[in-house]
Amino acid sequence: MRVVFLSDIHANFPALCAALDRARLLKAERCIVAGDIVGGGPHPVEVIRLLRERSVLAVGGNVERKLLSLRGKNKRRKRWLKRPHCAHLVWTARQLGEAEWDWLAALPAVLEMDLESVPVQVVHGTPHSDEEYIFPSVTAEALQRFELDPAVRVLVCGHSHIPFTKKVAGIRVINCGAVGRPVDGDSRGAFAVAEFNGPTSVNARIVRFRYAVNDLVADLEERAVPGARGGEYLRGVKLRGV
Amino acid sequence: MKAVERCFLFMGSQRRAWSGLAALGYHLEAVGAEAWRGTYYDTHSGSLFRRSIRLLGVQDPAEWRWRIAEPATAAEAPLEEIPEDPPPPDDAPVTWRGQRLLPVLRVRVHQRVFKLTAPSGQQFELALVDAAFARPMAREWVPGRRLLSLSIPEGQASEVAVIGSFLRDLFRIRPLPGDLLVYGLEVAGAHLPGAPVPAELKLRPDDTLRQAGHKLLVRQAFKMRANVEGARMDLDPEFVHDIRVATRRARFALRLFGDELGAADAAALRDELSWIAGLLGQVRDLDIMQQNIRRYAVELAGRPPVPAAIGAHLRRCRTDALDALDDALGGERFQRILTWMERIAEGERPDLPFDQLRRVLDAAPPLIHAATARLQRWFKREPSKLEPAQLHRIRIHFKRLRYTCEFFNDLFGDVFAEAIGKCVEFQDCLGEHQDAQVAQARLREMADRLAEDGGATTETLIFVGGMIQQLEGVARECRRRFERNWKKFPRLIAAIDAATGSGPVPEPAS
Repeated sequence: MRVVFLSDIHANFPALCAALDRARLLKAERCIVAGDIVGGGPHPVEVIRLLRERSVLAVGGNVERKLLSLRGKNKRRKRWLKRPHCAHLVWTARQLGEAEWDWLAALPAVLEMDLESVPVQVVHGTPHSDEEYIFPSVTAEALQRFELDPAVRVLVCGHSHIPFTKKVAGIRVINCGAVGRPVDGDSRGAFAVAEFNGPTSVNARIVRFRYAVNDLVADLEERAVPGARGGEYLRGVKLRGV
Repeated sequence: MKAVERCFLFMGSQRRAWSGLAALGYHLEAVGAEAWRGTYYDTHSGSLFRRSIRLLGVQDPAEWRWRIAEPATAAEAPLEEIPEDPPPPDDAPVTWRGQRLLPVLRVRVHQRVFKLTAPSGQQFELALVDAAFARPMAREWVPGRRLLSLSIPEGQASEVAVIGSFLRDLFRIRPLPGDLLVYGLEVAGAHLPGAPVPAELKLRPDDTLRQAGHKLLVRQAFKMRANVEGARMDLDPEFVHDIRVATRRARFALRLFGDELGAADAAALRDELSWIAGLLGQVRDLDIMQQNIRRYAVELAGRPPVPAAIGAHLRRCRTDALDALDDALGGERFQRILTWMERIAEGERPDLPFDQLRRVLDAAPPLIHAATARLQRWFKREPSKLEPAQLHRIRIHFKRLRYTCEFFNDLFGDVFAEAIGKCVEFQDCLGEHQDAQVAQARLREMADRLAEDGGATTETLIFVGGMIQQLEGVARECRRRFERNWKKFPRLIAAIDAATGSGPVPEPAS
């Protein structure tokens, strides 16, 4: 069974479409999203509608958690609007309809499933928190701290926007990178594809794909997404702190 | 009701897009088919276009009506904002809000209309549009590619944006960079209204003098091409005027950059431009004369009507001049001139090493100072003793100074705007003086000719006499104005010095 794991779409619809096109070419049977579906990008509604229509399994990320605290009329929106790094969340909140809010609210923080009898856990950051990171330097000791279910053989995460796949202490760790907000100097989007061939065989690799980044940059400008810098998308970098 | 409208270039499979939309929860229902044709109108300068206003005369299919629209928010306009009368079916010019509107593009549309209901219940109108376009003068229609147009009631712009993303990213249907007018003009091979100068023809600080000369000539050729059709159709006198101005600027650019462009080539091209300038001048002078006669006749005591013989004579002369111009503008010789202007000095001079190439940024201030120096020599003369021919000479020098400043203005971030404004004041005053002189000579010549033909009645001769007196008065008034302004000439020099020379050289525009 071939499964693609996407993460950190960040409301980048052209990138999501390109990723799904590539997944189709790879003959992937399932698609699972490891959080940060919206936030920062200009297409939150489009992204949610498409994932909902395709019945894609997903977990919520730190962005979704913060966004849900803005649901409905509340004073936090006004306060956050004044914070440069939060204003995009308020903008996103204003775009969403009830159906989109409901879909976001139903996202779990962790997904646990068996794929071809392989126990898989999908989180956004780490099993402990959606704000912690798992980097390529992750060690067996670090994994132990997460107190994973001993049965889990594959841990899928995102959040760091740095894609990698690595086997640590018998666990295949997959960080999907970012579909819609790469920051590793490569402007192409990234996701992970894993091949599950029975309980002991899991192969995974990172796929990079091009998408219409100019369309995205034009939409960022046209829709006036607060704090968005088109140049960062064009270069695949992040020029300021989170 | 106001609406938001977007257009897409429809490529690929309609079935795939329709089934894809259905999968996303959209419901599509055929409403019917429509056919209409219409004409886009704008002012000669393209002022409506610049304000994002699209004025379209539509026939759908039984009656003509106006439709005013903006690309982002298409709308049926309130009644006071559109012309009262229906648009002319024959694409003739029309007057609106005191402006003369000209046909810009004809469009013929056949469309299939669908009602699209979003999962949220929001309703769109979606149309598959097959459109063909024609320039006002062209007989043949040029078909465009199939378009998909999407419109939705006001206030739901984000919904259009969402479905626009689905069409673009999911079904690969590209949005049109502009609206139907911009697309149609591109399909029909026509310029945008007002023919804005393309960005690549603007001077850049790192251009060499030769590149600058080349760009300025291509720019004039562009302006000439943009106005040929309107001039030949005689839609508005401004089209002839604009070609004439572009011709003058081109001739001056050849004079200014002659050495860089190749002296022999530049001189030969200037001679060719003189030929078309002569023909343009004949029509333009008659336009001005007709305008002035109408204006000054009103100012004459007793307001006598312009005698029919004079009116008919002027119209006849203009028709003859315009016929000659029409032949010239449609002929191969004029096309050769335009091509020559576009190709002259295309590459850099092969005989000079790179470090000896003169940069326009360095060369511009001395060229502007040379133009002011020529005028300063005249400033030493007593203005009341200047002959009309000398005043005309001064006018030409002002024109050259103005053109020089205008050529380099975008390079220095508009610092010459004030100086250009002052030059225009001098030029207008001296131009009116010159027009009055030319009109007097023409009236005398016309009276002689009418007398020879036996068409000069007493009434005509009295009118001509009165008109000549009036024109003499105008010329005297212009001279007085010039003498007053002439004292302020040092201020113009100071404005130019401030912008370029005596002070620090201005920073180049980025």
